[in-house]
Amino acid sequence: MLPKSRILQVGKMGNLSLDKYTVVRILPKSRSANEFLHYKKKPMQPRINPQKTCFLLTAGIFLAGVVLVRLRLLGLPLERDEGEYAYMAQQLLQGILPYTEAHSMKFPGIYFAYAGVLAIFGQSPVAIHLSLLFVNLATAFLLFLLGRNLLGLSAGVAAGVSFGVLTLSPALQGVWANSEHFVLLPAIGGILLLRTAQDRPARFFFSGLLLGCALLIKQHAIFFCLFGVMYLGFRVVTQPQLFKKPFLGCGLFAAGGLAPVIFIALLYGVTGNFSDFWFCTVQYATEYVAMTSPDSGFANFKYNFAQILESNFPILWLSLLGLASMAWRKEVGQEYLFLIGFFVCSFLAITPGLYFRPHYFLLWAPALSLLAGAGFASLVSISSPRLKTVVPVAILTLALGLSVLMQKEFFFTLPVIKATRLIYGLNAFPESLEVAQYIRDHSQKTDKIAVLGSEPQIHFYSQRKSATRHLYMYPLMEKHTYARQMQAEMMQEIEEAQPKFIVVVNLSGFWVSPGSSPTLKDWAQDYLNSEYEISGVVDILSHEETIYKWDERGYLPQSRYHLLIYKRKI
Amino acid sequence: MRTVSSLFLVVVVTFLGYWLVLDERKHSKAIAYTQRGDVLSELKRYDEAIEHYRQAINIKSNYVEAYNNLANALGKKGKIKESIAYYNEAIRFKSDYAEAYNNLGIALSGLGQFEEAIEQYQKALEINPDLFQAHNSLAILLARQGDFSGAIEHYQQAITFYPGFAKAHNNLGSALAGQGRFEEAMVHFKKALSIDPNYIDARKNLELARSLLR
Repeated sequence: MLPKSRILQVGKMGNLSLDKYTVVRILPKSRSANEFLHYKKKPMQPRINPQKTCFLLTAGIFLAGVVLVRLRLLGLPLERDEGEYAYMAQQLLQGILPYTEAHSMKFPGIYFAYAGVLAIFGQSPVAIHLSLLFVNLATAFLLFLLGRNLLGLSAGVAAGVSFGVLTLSPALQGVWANSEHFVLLPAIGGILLLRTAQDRPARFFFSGLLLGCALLIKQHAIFFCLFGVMYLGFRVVTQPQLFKKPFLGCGLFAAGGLAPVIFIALLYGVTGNFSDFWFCTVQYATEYVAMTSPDSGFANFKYNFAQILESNFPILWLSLLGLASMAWRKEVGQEYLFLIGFFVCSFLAITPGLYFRPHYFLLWAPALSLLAGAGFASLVSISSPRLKTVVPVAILTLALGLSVLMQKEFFFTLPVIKATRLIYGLNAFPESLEVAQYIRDHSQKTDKIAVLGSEPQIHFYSQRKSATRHLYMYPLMEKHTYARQMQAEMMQEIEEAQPKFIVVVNLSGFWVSPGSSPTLKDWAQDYLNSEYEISGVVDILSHEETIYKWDERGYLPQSRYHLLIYKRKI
Repeated sequence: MRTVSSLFLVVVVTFLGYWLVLDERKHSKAIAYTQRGDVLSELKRYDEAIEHYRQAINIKSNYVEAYNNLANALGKKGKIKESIAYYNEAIRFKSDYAEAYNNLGIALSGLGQFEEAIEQYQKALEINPDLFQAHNSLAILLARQGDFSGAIEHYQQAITFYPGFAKAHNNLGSALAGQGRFEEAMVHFKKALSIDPNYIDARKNLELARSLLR
């Protein structure tokens, strides 16, 4: 007895006047009728298609360029978010759950991902950035598959390669292993699975699971989950013929999506740390996202998006064209609905808190790249058939080549330290390596340290535990309900732990904002003067010059950007 | 028709993007001038700082931080009337700029316009109730007008937000002493001295309160 779906498929070929049962006999079990038609036509096609070859070669060159740039910049010093993830992951590998000995408002998925990276590749910036290369390439590949599924091969290739170039941009801080990169891989995987799910129950489940994993990495991914729910609902309603058991599919999708969240809640519940987890990721996070006014939010968006636009305008212009091409490409109407929904949800993913930090825009990059693919395909579709080899190559080269050209200095010539300075100015990211080295050389593995600033990478490099749960000063100095409680906690924890070293980071009055209470600063001055002595000064004079003074008394920093390393008096 | 309108949209958004990039460049330049002005102010090179703030304003005429910081620098040079004009400009562009209201209050107070100063401090505190400096300044003026209970309330707010505020403790002690509450006043004079043992006014006030209590 033939399965019903197969008989229906064969029935579609009636106009070819083939006997349906004969076709079923010819077809191997795994082949569909369309594949069979393709199979029959194959010998008539030329072996090498010059148009396709030239286009794929161009795309391949750009992708190879992306890989080369990422390889060149593997040794970039960790920035503070990377430092936080790496330190928490380091702790996790020692069996310490996030939020128990260090606070963070992010969901724990990123720490698990980083722990995997550190376990596989090793505990260094190079290892972390190498993992980013793989994650980024894998995401670009998934985006290619999604683009191909939606708009065809060439649009898929254009989308994948545009994503590779766009996410390399320093304006998006794309060469640092921010959590957004790790969100995108499961999110795009989940959406792709959902798009191709139809009557395969496992795909619904794994689609939900991947989107749940994305959410577990960063709360912002809730909007990708929302897109998944809306898309699934839309398909069930508008294409009921595709779903034999729609409720089963939706149920499996929901079960997959909730599984990671339930797992984490259980993990923290069973280990007795649920209240810490809840406070950090829900209570404080809720305060954090309510701190920026709409006016400031708009200014943040304008400022950061303008920078991205300036260095990537050819790709973004192609995206705009992709959006507009909806008007004249009526044959792909349903696919455009998908694209617009995805575009809107991806934009919403960058909005929580209205901070619009440069790396948040990475979450928007897949939608923009898919639209760039659509723009590319629409331009090719209106070009003259005689220029079919030249036009795709020319468009891709212009769009991606111009973006690369505008950022060539960062991509190809600047050494890693200067590249860091270009984006982060006089932040002490390169200096953290040397500070950590000094601390490691002058302390035992069991000694604790504290950093009065926001440089958790020092803990990771030095492999010394933090004396306080507060790795960042920002949350302590912001205006919210818990700020004073957090300050009091930090002071108490440091006094109790008596850390061997305290690093005070002064980046132009960095962690004491003018409007905030100087209580913590007063305490730090009194405590350090009575219990500690300066054993090192790191004076960041300019982008090129930093003076390090170790165990030398009397040196006064000349720059407003400096680090003071205090050692506990014996 | 749909194609024409979509192409029109592309053109409009392209121009919008172009304007956005130009505006961002101007903004970045204005920030750079203001930051340089801040460094010069810190070094007490006020004339140069004022020049930098003015440059920032020339580039971006609604850059409120530049107006506020320019007014601060002018105040340091003793040009208080001019500084008031710039604080007002900052407030005109950003009506919820609490720091500018507070600074305007200080400037008006410096000119002896106490009623107006009180009004500005109150506006600053309406926007940002945590502004402990404004609580202290407002309390000083209220005490001057003889409103000791109002003054005490604001001094207490100041030390709630900043417990290490020695001046506010001393002022609160004085206000309490003004109401004849010498024992409570002594607690705050002592607190001010524990924060800053070299605080001469607090020491004198403590001795005076002790003698009056006897």
